[in-house]
Amino acid sequence: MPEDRNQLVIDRLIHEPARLLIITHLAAVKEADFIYLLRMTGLTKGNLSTHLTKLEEGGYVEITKTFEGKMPRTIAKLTKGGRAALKSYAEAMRDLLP
Amino acid sequence: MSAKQLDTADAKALAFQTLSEDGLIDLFCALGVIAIGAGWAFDLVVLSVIVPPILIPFWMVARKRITEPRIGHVELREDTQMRLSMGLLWAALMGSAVLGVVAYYAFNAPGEVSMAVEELIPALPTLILAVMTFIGWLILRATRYIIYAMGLIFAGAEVFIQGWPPHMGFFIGAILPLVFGGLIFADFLRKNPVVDA
Repeated sequence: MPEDRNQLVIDRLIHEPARLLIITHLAAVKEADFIYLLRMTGLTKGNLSTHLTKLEEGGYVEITKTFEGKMPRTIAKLTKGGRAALKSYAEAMRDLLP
Repeated sequence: MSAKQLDTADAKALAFQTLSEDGLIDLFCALGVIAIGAGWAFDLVVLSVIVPPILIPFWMVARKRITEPRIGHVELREDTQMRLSMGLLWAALMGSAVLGVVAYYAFNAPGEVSMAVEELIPALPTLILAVMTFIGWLILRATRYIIYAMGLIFAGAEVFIQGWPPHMGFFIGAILPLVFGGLIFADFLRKNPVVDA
């Protein structure tokens, strides 16, 4: 089998279920805060924080930290790159499935 | 919800649902309707005109202070916001159309029809509100808005049958959203404690 057919090109940053869940929720809205994502994904705070950091490092999510009075607030927003990556991922998965 | 069950359309619907799941929108709408009715009843036009628009920023502050610390903040996408605005515009246009049709028949229809339509006029504001509430259901997809619309139709029918003044329809029609909104809000507070992020 030729070498280029021997590889499955899947974006591993998105492919992880928890991150896919986060990205799907962010793709549906303009922006969302940490509490919203916590509730929608059902992840623990630590898990969500770790995955958001990974997505931010990958350039898929933009994180803004602000204060609402004395309360810290983390707002997440899908970047253009993140949206494009999700689209490519969905297309790749569609091509893969029979 | 697992990744398997979710798609972007579901995620959009869930985000949209957060607008009405706290019951605050029901309570504020009911207060607005009562204010319009009270303005009508006591001849205080200012109350009818000023109070409903003032309630909008109050609703937004209440969401920020009470709802968002519990279920978080989400901003809908521009296309969704546009659809919401178009829906509200559509509701206003439909209400105006109902008013226009009735006014036309009241002034132009011959004899008995004209008189029957004239008798309907006191019930008309409540019925227009019912049409707008029905469109509200189409936008928000919360089943209880159908119940509110039916309540308003019932209130309008009572005004017509009993020969009551128009504001009575507003007072009766506001009962359901006030009660349901209050119950939903209490349940929301009970089920959703403040999250320490």
